[in-house]
Amino acid sequence: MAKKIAIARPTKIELARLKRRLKLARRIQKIMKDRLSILIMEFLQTVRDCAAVKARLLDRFAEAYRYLSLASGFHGTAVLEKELLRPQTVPILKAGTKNVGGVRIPFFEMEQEKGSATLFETADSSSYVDRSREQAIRCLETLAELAEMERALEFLGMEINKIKRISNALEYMIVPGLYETIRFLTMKFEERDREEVSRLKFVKLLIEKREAHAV
Amino acid sequence: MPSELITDRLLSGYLCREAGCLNTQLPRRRKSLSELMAEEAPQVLLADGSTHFFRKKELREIAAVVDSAEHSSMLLPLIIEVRSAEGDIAIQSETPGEGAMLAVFAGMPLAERAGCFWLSRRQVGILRRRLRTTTQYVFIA
Repeated sequence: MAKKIAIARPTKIELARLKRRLKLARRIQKIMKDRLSILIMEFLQTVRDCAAVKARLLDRFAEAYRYLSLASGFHGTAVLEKELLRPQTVPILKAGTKNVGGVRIPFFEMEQEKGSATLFETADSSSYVDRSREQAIRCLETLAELAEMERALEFLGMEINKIKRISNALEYMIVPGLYETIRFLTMKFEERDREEVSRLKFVKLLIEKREAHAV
Repeated sequence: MPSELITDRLLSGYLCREAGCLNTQLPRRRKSLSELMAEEAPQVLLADGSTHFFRKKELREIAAVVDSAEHSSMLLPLIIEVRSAEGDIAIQSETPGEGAMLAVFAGMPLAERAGCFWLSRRQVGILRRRLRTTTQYVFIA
């Protein structure tokens, strides 16, 4: 049975206040349940996306290593290292925040610098080097996407736990407690009313008896 | 008894705070699609003071679907209303092209009633998968 909430004075004002609080608690409980279901939906969606991005990342790494080994075989390690040290397209990572149902989540977006172009010398380089460079940038993009999703999962999980606790506290402690207190107060007032009626009847009877004796 | 009274007061304060903290993810001012497309880092300021960034790819996808005349009237992020009382999820219709755009992203036509597009949870899932940063939830009791 839910624990009764202590009240300073059993008055009608207190009863009205408790009823207001019960209404508010029920509203919050409904919203929390909705929020929980939405966040769980987002969490599951992120898990699915995360798995897909992880698989894509592995494919891209495999592809990048394939091109890198081809380039290394074609040019030799020394030439490849020299080529890879050359200034090239600089990827920019934009970091910020986004909000999903009240949960602040990190946001990453990779962009290529405007106006920058891949510089290469035709004498020493080949399309293998370019391809491996492109693949490496694609790997970075996927890595940023994966990092965002992993953090999103963590934050969403924490928020889901928090909301579950709040929702359970409301469902099993606060709302039943308030309901019990309201019931207790209502019964007390009804009892007081009944006492008052019986007292009035008794007084009326006494007055009638006195009047009968006087006559 | 006094400790119980303190707990009671704490509970009351907590309930009020929870009600106040809800929907702080709403933007202070929504921006038009054309305004966001022109920005270097498209973002809006939220009610809690934080910023919400938009993915450029999503903006480009929306711009490709929506008629160019409506770019300045389409406000983003789109607000998905989760209504507890009715147990429904809705998006307020603000521009004529919005319905067509949402239907394209959801992959099916959406039910329109009383100026709102009514969505099922499944449709919300599909829509959110494609428009992660350009939609925002609001919880209504």
